[in-house]
Amino acid sequence: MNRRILLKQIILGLPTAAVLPSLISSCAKEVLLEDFKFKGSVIVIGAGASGIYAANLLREYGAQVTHLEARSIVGGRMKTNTSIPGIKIELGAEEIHGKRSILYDMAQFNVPSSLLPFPGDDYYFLENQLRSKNFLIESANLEGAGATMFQIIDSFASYPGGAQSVSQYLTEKELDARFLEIANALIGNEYGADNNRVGMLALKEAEEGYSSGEEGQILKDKSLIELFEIAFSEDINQVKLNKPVESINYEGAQVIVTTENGESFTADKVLITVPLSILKNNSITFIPSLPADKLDSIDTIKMDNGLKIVLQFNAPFWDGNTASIIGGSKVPEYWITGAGKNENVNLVTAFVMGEKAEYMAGLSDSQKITEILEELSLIYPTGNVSGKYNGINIIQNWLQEPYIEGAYSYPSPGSEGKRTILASPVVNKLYFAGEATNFNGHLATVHGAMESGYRAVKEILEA
Amino acid sequence: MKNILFFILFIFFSCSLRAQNYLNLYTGYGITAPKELNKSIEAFNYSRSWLAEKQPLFQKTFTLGLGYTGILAKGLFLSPDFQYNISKSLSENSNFKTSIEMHWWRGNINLDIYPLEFGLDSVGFRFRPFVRVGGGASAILPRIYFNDSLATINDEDYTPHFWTYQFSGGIGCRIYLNRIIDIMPFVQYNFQPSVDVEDFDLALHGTSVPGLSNVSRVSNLQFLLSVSFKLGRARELIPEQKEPKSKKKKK
Repeated sequence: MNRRILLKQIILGLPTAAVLPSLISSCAKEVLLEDFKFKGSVIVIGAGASGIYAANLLREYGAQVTHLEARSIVGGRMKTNTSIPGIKIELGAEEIHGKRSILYDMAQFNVPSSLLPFPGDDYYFLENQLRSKNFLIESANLEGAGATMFQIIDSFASYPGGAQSVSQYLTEKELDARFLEIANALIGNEYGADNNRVGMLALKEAEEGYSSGEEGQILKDKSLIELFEIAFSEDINQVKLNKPVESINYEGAQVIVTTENGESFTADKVLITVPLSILKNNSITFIPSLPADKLDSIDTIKMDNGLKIVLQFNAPFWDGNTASIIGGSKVPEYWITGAGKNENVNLVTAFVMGEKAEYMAGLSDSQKITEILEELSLIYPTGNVSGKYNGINIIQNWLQEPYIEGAYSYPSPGSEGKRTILASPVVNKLYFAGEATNFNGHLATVHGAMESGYRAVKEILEA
Repeated sequence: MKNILFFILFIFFSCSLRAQNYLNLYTGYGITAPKELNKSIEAFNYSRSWLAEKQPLFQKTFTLGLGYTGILAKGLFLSPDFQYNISKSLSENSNFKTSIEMHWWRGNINLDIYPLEFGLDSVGFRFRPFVRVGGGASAILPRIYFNDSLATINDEDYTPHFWTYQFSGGIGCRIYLNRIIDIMPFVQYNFQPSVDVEDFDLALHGTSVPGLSNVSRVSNLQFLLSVSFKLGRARELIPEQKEPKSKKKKK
């Protein structure tokens, strides 16, 4: 070998060295799902967030999808009212919780200019006065009780105790009684119930898993269902509406789904995304019956009623930067519906869940309005609230919504660990998704419903 | 692992202070296949079905390194070195740009063994193959950006660093160009038995995805080219290159 030959070999070797990594890496490439095709058929029941999204994913991977929806519209608990010009009022899901979620990514991709951080400040109704969060924390008159409450709320993920309700825990922590309504609004009402009905261990589980962030986002000029229509238009067009499912027979090799009007659909697998309430009230007959542990989960995880009542006023009676008013005894949380969207519509949303929702639901519509106006007048004694009310209102009672029959699932006592069981497949034929099946702390959210959808699709594809 | 990395750093500077042998600057690229992290990226693509441009898997790594080679015995060199490696996965969709970066700071102590029978002076300049074995510690800094903003977990920026260890082996050759500079092409394989990139899936997906793990075995095959500067006594230790005699000159 002489120098010339050696140099020649080195020069020849260099391109080989340059190409070799690509060759090796292409050979070593791990393929999980990219080239995967599912050849079977799947019936998706329910066209809410999880159902629409799951149907889309299933089609992406080659499944033959039949998508059934009981109602005449899609969206599930995403429902928008457009009766008041200049604003799209969300009567169901409204907020995009946090900035790290699949829903936030979807909004960023599809409607980036519409995304808006939840605007304004929260005010708390304490001892007949509206107070800022800073006041609650720093006021000497409150002797640190406000700070204590926020510390308790922030530390649920590290709760060290045993089974008890949030109310019992707050009593144990000797929370100042003046803060109980505010605590109820921030915890129980927010989770879809009230502090008597939320269990500490299940709450701990939810808070531990939650990772999306606290910075809430809204869509300024779009509704959530519009976002889904943009992202999944083809899938939504294929939904078979007005097909309420009566029975699911999974005895044979294939699953037979029968609707209330007698139609039958057959597939290899069924993905059930109906609200928990529909499973609870046995609207769907399973043949054979679901396993005992799943029935126990369905029973243990609770889902209460929820109301959104939107009132319009001729002029605002609130400060311009107000986002929410927290701590009412009749309505735990009010918010300014048009904040960040359209400040000129002068709308207030009353958001009431759990026991208080049951009380409110029992009143006539006019009584509901009266109660709300009375409480708002108490909060804003000089605001001439009743005088400014223009008589226009929208009342959404989720218990009365056909095929929904409730607001959303919450961390009820004893439900810790049950969501995993609720989510688990049955004999590789029945799969479950929907916000109630989210065991990663994102229950009761749209992005949690979507996450459950792709978890279920992954189960189907990998079965 | 942090202590090991600092120990290697200590050795590196101790040896450097002697300033007798070789300082190596090198660069190159390689293949890195963190299996579990790539599964997580695939799951990301699968869950974001609306993305036109999918997120590529981690495959290639770009490397910059600084090393030192000190003579232990005839044909035996100690080569502590530091590498900075970056693997990047970038997808740019309209309104939605996702960049996943893995920064690896790797410290190794290598033993370079030069078989004495391969002097190869016959090629006209010294060309000496060597075998390298070594090991050390790494710091791994994963960074995920969505639209150029750091990914968050519960509103906290995801900026962790993790420690792990690796075993390395390689082959190469040292080519003496002149009394000051050598070049050294070499291929190095690094194996990290357990890399735990905690919460990677939370930061990427916004949730824990069943079936995914943040713990991965990582193999890394590098193709590197080093420029090696002879320092201090090294120049003295190397005999002057003699020109090979040719028949033409005889004439």
